[in-house]
Amino acid sequence: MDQLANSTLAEPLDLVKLALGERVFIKLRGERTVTGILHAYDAHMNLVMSQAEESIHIVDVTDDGQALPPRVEKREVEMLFVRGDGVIMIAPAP
Amino acid sequence: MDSASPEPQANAPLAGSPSDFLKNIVGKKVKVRIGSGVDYHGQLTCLDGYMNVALEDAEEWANGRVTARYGDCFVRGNNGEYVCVLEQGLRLAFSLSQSVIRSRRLGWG
Amino acid sequence: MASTILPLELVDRCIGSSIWVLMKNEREFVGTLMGFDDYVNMVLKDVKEYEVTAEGITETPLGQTLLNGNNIAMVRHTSAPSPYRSTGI
Repeated sequence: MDQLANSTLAEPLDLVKLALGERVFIKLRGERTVTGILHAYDAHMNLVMSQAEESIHIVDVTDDGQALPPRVEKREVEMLFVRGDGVIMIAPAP
Repeated sequence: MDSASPEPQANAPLAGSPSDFLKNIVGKKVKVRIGSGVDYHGQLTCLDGYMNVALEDAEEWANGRVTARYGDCFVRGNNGEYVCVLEQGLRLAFSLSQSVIRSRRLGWG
Repeated sequence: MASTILPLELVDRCIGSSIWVLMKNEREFVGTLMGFDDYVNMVLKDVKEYEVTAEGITETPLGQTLLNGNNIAMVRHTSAPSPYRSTGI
């Protein structure tokens, strides 16, 4: 993917096109991340992913306002549609 | 500076409009600040009219430290608060080879 | 009616001089305005970013910067190098 990106990248969406069929890592609003196989996308960055794992990063606050250490809640989804307006960032999965 | 290979952008006039600016900074190290205060530093590969950007050798910065690295990454335009050109002195994680290339471009090498 | 000034005309007159931009969030920018577009996305140079936090005001110098017009609340023409230094906050 790297060498392709260097030579044939005309616009940012091409980077997403190159990631089709690959495992990607996406960051969403609301402290959420998803990794999964990217099947489809459009100009809004609506995405269809399979074998997706969603991680929600939660910071609980005690009654007296103390922030507890962050915890991560995970769930697995076989097939997932992500609405584009929530997408912040897309990268190949590490 | 080597006169046989002038760097066209080195002395180009400062870009006026936002679209000129974006055209002129392709290939440079930039910082993209998203609304939540997280920064993405990386080489700007390309961009489009929505201000979507593709970054190469991207680093995610939060609270003054690197929190992740991505070879390539796509940042959706609407989340961007600003894009700025990283200057050498401000860049903490600047690799040596990049510093050398950059200083040659600027005529300091 | 002859003296009517459109908002973007006012911004246009600031090109080349120092402006102070207040965002909807707790951030402010001071820099020299190089240009802008219909969305009031702005290109600034010699920028200083101010962030108002509980611990105080942090100041970050930035190079040439494209500021997204989406989150801009107010723009002021200013000759002071720092709005905070001049107001004593």
